[in-house]
This record gives sequence, C-alpha cells and structure tokens, in this order.
Amino acid sequence: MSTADGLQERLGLNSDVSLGLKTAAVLTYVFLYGPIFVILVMSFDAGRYGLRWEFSPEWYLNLATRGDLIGSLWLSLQIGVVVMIVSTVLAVVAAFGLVRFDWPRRKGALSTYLIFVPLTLPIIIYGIGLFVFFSQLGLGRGFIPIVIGHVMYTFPFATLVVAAGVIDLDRSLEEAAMDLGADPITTFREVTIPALMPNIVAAALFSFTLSFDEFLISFFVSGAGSIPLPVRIWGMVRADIEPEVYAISVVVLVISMTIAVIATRLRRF
Amino acid sequence: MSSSSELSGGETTAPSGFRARVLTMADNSRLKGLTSLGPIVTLLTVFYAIPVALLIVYSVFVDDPFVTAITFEHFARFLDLSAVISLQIGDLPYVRLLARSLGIAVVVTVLSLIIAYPITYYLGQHAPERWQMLLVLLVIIPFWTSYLIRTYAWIPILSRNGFINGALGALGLPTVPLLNTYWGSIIGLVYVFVPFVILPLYASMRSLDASLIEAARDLGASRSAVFREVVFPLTLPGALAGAVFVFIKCAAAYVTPALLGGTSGRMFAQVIETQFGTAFNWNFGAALSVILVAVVLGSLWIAMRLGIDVGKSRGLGGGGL
Repeated sequence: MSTADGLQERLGLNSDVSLGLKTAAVLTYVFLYGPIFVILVMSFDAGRYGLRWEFSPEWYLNLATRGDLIGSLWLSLQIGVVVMIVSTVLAVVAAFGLVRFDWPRRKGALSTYLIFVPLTLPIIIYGIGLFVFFSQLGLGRGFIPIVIGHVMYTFPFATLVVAAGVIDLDRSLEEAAMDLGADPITTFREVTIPALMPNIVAAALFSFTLSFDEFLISFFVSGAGSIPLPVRIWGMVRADIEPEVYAISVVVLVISMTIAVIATRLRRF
Repeated sequence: MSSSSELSGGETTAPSGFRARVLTMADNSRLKGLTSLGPIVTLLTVFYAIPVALLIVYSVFVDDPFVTAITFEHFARFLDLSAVISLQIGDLPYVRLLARSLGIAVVVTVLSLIIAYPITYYLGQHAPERWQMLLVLLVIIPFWTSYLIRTYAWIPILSRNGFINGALGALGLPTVPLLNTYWGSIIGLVYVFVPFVILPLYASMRSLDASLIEAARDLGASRSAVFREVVFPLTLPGALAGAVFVFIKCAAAYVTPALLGGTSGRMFAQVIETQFGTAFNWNFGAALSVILVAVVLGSLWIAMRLGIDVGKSRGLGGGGL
C-alpha cells in the first residue's frame, strides 16, 4: 500500500483524489449513460441489418407515419397530465394532514399505510391486483383504470416531496401574516402555498414523469383501444425490434430527462 | 414578504357564507384531519388495499372466490410437502425458481454495493465542491427515466453480434453468451437498481466528517485501512438501507429478466405473470403473489429487526420501480 501511495505521490496524483477513485467514478458514469447513448446511436443508424453504422434521420421521419406510436405517445401524455393533477392535489392535502394537523394522532401507522407500503410492495403485484379487481367489477381495462393505478402509484412519491417542503416551511412567515390581520385562508393562499411552490411543482413533475414512464400497471390494465407508449414499446421489443422503437425511445428519454432535471433542481433535499 | 400589503386587503369585513364555514372548520382539528386525509385513505383502501387483498382471497379458493370451496391446494402446489419430505428437489420447480430469484437478488445487491462505494466516496469526500451538485444530478437523472427503455438498451449491447461481443471479436477474443442468460438478468438488474444504493450511500458519505479521515491518515493509517476502519463502518447504515431496497425490488423483478434473462435468468415474477397472462390460473397466480409479498415483507421485517433504517433509502430519487 505504501509503495502504491508513494508512486501516486511521485506522479502527483495524491494531492486530494486518488486516481483509482476518479477512474471508478468515471467508469460508473460510463455504465449509467452507456446504454442511453446506445439508444441514441441506434436511433440514427441507417442500416437495419447492416454491420456498419451510417447516419440517417429516416426513423425519426418515419415516426410521423406511425399512427400507432403517435397515438400511444398522445395517450401517455394525456394520462400523465391527468395523473399529475390528481396526484399533486391529493399529495398537497395529505402532506398537511400528515405534517401539520393534530388529528389523527397516530401518524406513523398512517404514513406506513399511505406511503411506505405502496412504495415497497412489488408493482407487479399491484398491477395484477388491479387487473383482477377491475375484471371482477366488470369494468375491464382502459384509460380510467390506468389513471387510477398511476395515481395510487405516484401519490407516495408526490407526498414525500410536498411533505418535505411542509416540514421545512418557516412557520414565522405564516405567523407574521396572521399578526398583520390575515385570516387562515388568506395566509394559506398568499403565504403558505407560494412558499411551498417549488416542492409542489417538483411533485407535479415527478408524478407526470413517473406516470409517463410507468409500464407494469399499464401492462395489466390497458385495453386494446388504449395502449400507453411503454406498453407499445414493450410489444415492439418483445417481437422483432423495429428500428423506429429507438427513435420513439429517444423522444421519451428527452421528455423524461428534461422533466427530471427541472424537478430535481426545484426540490430541496 | 413582498406582498404584505395584499395580505389583509379586502379581508377586513366579517367573513360570510362559504368562507365563514371554511374558517370555522379550520378551528376543528378533527374536521381538518378528516378532510385532508379522509379522501386519500378512502381512495387507497378501495383502489390499492382491496385489489391487493383480492389476491389473498383468490389464493385460498379452488376457482371463483366465495362460490367454490376453500382450499390450500395452490400453496401445496408451490410447496409440495411429499417432495420436501423425500428431498426430491427436482419436484419443486416453483421453490427452486424462488430460490434462484432470491439468489439473483443477493448477487445484484452485492454488485450494486461494490459499484456504489467508490463513486459515492468520490462524490461525498473528494469531488470539487462546485461540480458536486451536477455530478449527483447526473446520477439521479437516469433514475427518473423509463426503466423499460434503459433495460432494452442492453439488448444491442449484450446480444451475440452486440457491442460487447463485437469488441471482444475485434480484440481476437472468443465471444461470450450474455443476452438471455443468467448474467443478462444480473447485468440489467444492477444497471436499473444501482442508484437505489448510490443515493443513500452518497448522503452518508456527504455527512461523514472529513477530519476523521485526516486524523486516521495523520496517525499513519494506509488508505485501505482508513476505508476499512473509518469510512466503511460509518457509511454502512446508508449502504444497507439502499441494499435492502435493491434486494426487495430485485426479488420481484419482471421486466429485466423477461427482456434479458432468457431461461437461465428466469425469475419468480415471470411465472406469476404467466398464470394471469397465458395459463389463466388466477388462483395459483394469486397464491404465488401472496408468497412473493410474504418474502418481501419478511425481508423488510428482518432488515428492521437488524436495525437497518429502511426509510433512509426511500426519500431520495426513487423513480419508476
């Protein structure tokens, strides 16, 4: 060890960071982004069966003619927006219930039921349960079952993000507003909600992207007429991979990565 | 506050109607609790708890619940006692599949820890301050994108004429089967789950007091000794919190083994899906689901009994699994 350290010192690498640690970090980033880069490369590959890579935008141009993919993308966006709205409203209300209000007293049991259990149980079990549930009710599959499943799935994440903001909220701001004569409603609207806005927006964005990318629940409760994009991509990947799948995947990755960047920057850790 | 003048504007008159009712409500803590938590508790009970409980119901009936007889035959099909007694392991295909799934989950968890330690040590202790946020953001972003896409991205990498075998061939080395093998499942799962360990471990590394490391170095400890005696024990809680999460998520993995694992990388959740998707044996599928949930909850319970703070890992990041 001391020999290795000495060598590193002589090479001038030992000042702060050992070379090994830096290399490991770089390799980890290569591991994390390599596959995403592969998707990007494949999406611009002209030759479908060829061994040589040649640049071509044709798969992106083909997307315009793929009504099935466009339809599924549109459906996923619609589901995402509805889920985002419902989930965020429920999360804001529940966050206050869990963090601020005195009743009910047993918050531990409640947050286990509302947040911890849904976060830890396998999603596939929930998807199957929901499928059996809607079959029993005779409601079948489709838009509404997907939205319900996604709201239940995104709610715990959204609530954690909003609740973190409620916990950090400086109560003296609200007290000052009350002292200045504002009633609780005005204080909530003019002080509390604006102060919480970064967390609320982050929760909304996370809910949207979680729903937009969700596959397993949709897989079990989507019907023939309403196939969200991830389920469509699954079908394309399970069969013979069509080259358009890479192009539409890049579209999905760009949408979710943009949202993830914005949401992560808004969120207080 | 910039809007202090607006705060009391227009609200000086006595409240009436709806507003008055809301204000009275705000004084009643029970009413506040009920209106804030009532809707979500109801929704979650109807659309989450009941659907999952329905699987428990299905698992104990011969066929349609409450119409057909109650039975334990589905659980007996999983754990055939006569095969257990005669030690005919070959007659216990579902037990073996579960065991293999848990084995894969252990391997994935260990590999994730091995990958997570160096990068988080770097990020938490050595990365330049002004790059730190960006570097952490770069770990989180893939976490929040489609795991389905990130998983199938490995198909062109691992396949017989894929990137890895192409590189091996170019170096004059023999190719290795990776796609649709046990290692296909492992690689894909490590890729998808490693952020679950990286994020809580980073939080531990970040809060680790750098002067402890300096003190150990000053006292003559080698780099490996510092890691072994100082860094590792102090960051272990964060690592374990992430590890538990990776283990329980892996034990129930479906997408990754289905796309990358073939037959030798097949996992338990796939056989559950088969009962609902193609075999149409909901009752047996429900019994297998109950067993999987029991394994997951049992693992969590053991982890908590061992003093692992499982909650640590769930806040940061969290995408899509």
